[in-house]
Amino acid sequence: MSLVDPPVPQTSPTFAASSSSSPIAPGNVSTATPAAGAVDAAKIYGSGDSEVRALDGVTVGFEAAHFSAIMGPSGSGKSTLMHCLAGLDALTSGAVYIGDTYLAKLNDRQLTEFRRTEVGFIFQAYNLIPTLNAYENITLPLLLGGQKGDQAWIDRVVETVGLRNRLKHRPSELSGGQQQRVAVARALASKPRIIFADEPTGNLDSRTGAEILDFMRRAVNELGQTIVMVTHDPQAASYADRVVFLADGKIVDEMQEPTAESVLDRMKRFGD
Amino acid sequence: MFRISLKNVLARKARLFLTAFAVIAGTAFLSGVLIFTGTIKQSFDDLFAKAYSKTDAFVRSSNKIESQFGQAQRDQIPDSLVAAVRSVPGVAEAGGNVSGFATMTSLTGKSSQKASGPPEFGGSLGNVATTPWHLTTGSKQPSGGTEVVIDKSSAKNMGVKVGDQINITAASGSAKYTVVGIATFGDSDTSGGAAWALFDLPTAQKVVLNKTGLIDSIVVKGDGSLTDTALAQKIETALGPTSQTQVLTGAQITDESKSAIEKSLSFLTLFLTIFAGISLFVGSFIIYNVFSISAAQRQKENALLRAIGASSRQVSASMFIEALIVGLVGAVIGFAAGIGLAALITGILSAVGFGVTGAGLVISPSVPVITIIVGLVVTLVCAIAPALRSGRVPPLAAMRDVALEKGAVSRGRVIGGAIVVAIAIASLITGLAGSSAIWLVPGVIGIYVAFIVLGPIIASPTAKIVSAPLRRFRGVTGQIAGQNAARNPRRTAITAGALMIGVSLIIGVATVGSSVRQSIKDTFGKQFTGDYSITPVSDSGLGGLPTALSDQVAALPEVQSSTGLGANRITIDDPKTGKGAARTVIVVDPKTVGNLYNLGFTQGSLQALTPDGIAISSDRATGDGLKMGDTVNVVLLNQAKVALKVEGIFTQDTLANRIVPRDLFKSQNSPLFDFQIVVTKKPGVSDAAAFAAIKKLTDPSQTAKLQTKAQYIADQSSSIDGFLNFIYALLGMSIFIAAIGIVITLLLSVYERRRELGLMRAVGTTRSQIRSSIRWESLITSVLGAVEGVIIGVLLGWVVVRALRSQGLSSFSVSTTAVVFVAVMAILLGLAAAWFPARRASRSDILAAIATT
Ligand SMILES: Nc1ncnc2c1ncn2[C@@H]1O[C@H](COP(=O)(O)OP(=O)(O)OP(=O)(O)O)[C@@H](O)[C@H]1O
Ligand SMILES: [Mg+2]
Repeated sequence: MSLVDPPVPQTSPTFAASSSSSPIAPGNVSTATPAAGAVDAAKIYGSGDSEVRALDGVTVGFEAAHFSAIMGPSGSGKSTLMHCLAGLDALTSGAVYIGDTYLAKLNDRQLTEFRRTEVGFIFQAYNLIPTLNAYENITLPLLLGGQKGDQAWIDRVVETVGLRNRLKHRPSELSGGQQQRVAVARALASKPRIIFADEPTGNLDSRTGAEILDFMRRAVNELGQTIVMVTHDPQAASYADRVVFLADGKIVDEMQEPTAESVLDRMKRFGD
Repeated sequence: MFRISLKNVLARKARLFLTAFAVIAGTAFLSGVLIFTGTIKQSFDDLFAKAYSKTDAFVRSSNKIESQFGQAQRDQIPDSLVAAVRSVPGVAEAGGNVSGFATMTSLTGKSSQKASGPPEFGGSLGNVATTPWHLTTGSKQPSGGTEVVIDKSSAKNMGVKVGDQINITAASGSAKYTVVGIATFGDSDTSGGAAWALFDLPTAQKVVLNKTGLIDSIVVKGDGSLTDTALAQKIETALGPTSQTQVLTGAQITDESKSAIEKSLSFLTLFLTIFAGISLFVGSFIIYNVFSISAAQRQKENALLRAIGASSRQVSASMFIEALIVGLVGAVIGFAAGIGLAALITGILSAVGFGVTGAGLVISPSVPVITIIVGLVVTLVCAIAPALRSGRVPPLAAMRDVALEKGAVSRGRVIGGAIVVAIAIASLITGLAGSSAIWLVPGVIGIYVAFIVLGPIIASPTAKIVSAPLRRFRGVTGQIAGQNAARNPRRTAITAGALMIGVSLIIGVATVGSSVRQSIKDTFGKQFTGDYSITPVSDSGLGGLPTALSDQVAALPEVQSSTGLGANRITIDDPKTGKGAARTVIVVDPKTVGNLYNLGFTQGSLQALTPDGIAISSDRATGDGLKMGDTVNVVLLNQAKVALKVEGIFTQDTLANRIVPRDLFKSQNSPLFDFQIVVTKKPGVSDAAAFAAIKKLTDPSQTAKLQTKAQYIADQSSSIDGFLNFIYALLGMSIFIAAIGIVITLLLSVYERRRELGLMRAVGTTRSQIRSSIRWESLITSVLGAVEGVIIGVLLGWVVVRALRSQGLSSFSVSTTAVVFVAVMAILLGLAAAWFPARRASRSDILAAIATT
């Protein structure tokens, strides 16, 4: 496969998940239209001897109104894939799309606006602007676009996250779990097409982590939100509808309706 | 520990550069001033060495009146002494010399000077054996009453060559002369930027002194048989004490001239050093801020050092050593930058006609020593508090997250601030109540200290208040900007404080200036009752209008009356102690003065002054315990002792405290000049006709400026503008440093917030929104500094004006132009200072920001 001449799909990305360039044929291909995905995505850091193929021909799709998880050993390219999918980083070759928008076609300003309106983020830490209070952090993407947003929706999000009486607090006055909940609420508030979460519970104890995951699950079930989450934790992955496994920059496996045990089993095999 | 410090410094080259920049900016001015004044001094030293290079002995009058600045005013001596000196054994050549005020213009009206300022002299060329002047080829010695040799620089400026005619105005009046030669002073075009018209001795006596038989000095060249000291001794003995002369060796007169110039230059040096000090002080705010911020940013790292076993002293010491390195590097570069600055100033000066640099810049070894010591000390002092603070960081802080600076509103700060305010107000009240103006100094300093101490307390609320409307029309970026400005109140307050100092001084000076202008307008409007004023074009402070001009104007058929005013120095005995002190008196002509000047006489009048009379201001009368008819003992330049009677007391004392009649100086050798002639036209004569008639008389000389009353008053009230602009330019340096301070603080803050900025970008903030929020933050800081500065500046101005009320500063007026200027400047400064930090911020790396480590 040539890196200089990447196979950019000419047709709708609908077929992307079952692309023949995928190293393994997924066993259970969903028929729904993917909300986002990558086509033959490659990301190469450095060159020559120090070349690192963080992504090495990844083709994957994530279904709308589904909760998907990405798993894999450390350094397998999970974060890289997510950053590229979210338009935070650019691919070396291949393409990523959200809805029917190919991100590579957007300039910096369009991409920024696209992120603001179509994409929500939850990071492992440093999610919030320290000078803004919880409510302002939640509505930040809306405020940035100069919009008021859907007040009823925001109220519902705030209610669901259980932050009603913490809205006026600054991040430094919130616990780690509360901060993550604010981050989840922010991701939801602008009704993005898709939310990306990179180890959102990585810094939390298991109980607080469970609360956040439960909340994300409900956002998918009740609000119809699409969420893609990177995680190390089989327990966290069990909240997802589907898990995609990544190793050495390649999709190596996937699993529908995962449980903590089945994921753990699969993960153990990476050690071999 | 030193290795760690060095590594720290090198690892953060950008921060090193930013900190050093504050040191550089502060010390460059100091070094520039030292080099500049040293260069001027050297060029004058060279000048005098050249002027007296052929002089072995120098004879002059022993009668003198001391002057505050520069050389004493000396009497003339009879030219018959030249022959007496020449006959002394050991003397090879002796020549009489004359020098005084004379101003030249070409027939087309071109001045001999590129800009007014350097003095204009007329004098005798002297004989070849003793003169420092060299005639260029094609020139000949001047002789007869109409020939003149001029310096090469004046010839260039006027566009005159040998054979051309020029106008010369001196004590004797104005006349045309033929240029027969062009001379250089040693190898320079002229001596120190001055213009020289050189005649043969009899002509110089007539033109420059307006007297015959008198000279200023005798320059003697020995035949080599005696040492200079022995020669001078011999001449002194030969002339005897009755001649009232003094004989100096060539070395003595050179040294005396040098030290006189040094005395007047020391004022300039002090003046410029004060402004360098202000810049350095402003710079110290920035240096302190940078160390504080970097201490805060390194809190985690320092805590880690502490956790792994570094003592708190070691942590502080490492910070201190870093300051030492930064201070040293900054001061060395500052010294070098000062060389450039001095070169720039002298370059500008010689471009406008002050040829101060004959031999390039003079850098005495003391300059780098002083600059580096001052730079180092200031940097280290600024680093003390931040270094101690870093040492006190608990090891536990290594585990904590963000390092925010401590809150601003500590109780100690509030109490300290309140005490300073109380002391400042108390001293101001004491000072203004009149007991002693010296109280105003701690009062004003106290106000500054109060603003600096309380700055962080007001910074946060102010930033929030400002950002409230910002949020309205700039949305969330405006709000974030406001909160960022408010989040480190100490940082914001210090950054704004640096700007506050420069702005307050500018506004203070502008307020005093505009009050002076207003006072001049008010008092001159009252005192000046003539229709027209004639003043000298040149404002070198030397000479003026020939006294005959007033009578010529009075003789015009369109003119009702005309009178000249002059100034002179005499020694006046203090009525209490009986000791004499040199004083400036205003000289009037009682015969013509009429009521052209309204000085509010309560007793007597100017017209009624007899040749032995003096009029004094009521303040002086009270101060010296004098009343009408009392005697004031004075000594003139020629040592004549005169007992003057108080014949008038007046209240309007802006012009002078003492006024004497012109006849008092009848016996004096030195020529009298008028600094102004006041004219009224005949009733019934049209304004235009009278003006045209006088102009016809004054125009040919090109040296007198005719103005209507309104023009004259406007001109007078703007007479201080040049000086004010000079001060503004000097203060501009501190504003520049404050702007650099904003840039540095913003850059460090942007660096500190790179994570946050990356996150902002990730969730959809556009680059231009990021830039805008940094711009607003910068604007909030600069506007805060400007507002503080305007408040203190107006207060400062008011205090000074109040304190000077007894000196005739009757009006208080705030310069709206200055306030508007400062406001606009603050906004532009804020925008400009934000440019680079905003660019940096908008390029924050999103991925680096959200990386978990
Ligand atoms: N900026 C970079 N420069 C060079 N190499 C990089 C860079 N970022 C990531 N890599 C490399 O790319 C590979 C994938 O990194 P990535 O962060 O995506 O892994 P990950 O699966 O998220 O790991 P973890 O579970 O530890 O977070 C790794 O080998 C990493 O070293
Ligand atoms: Mg990762």
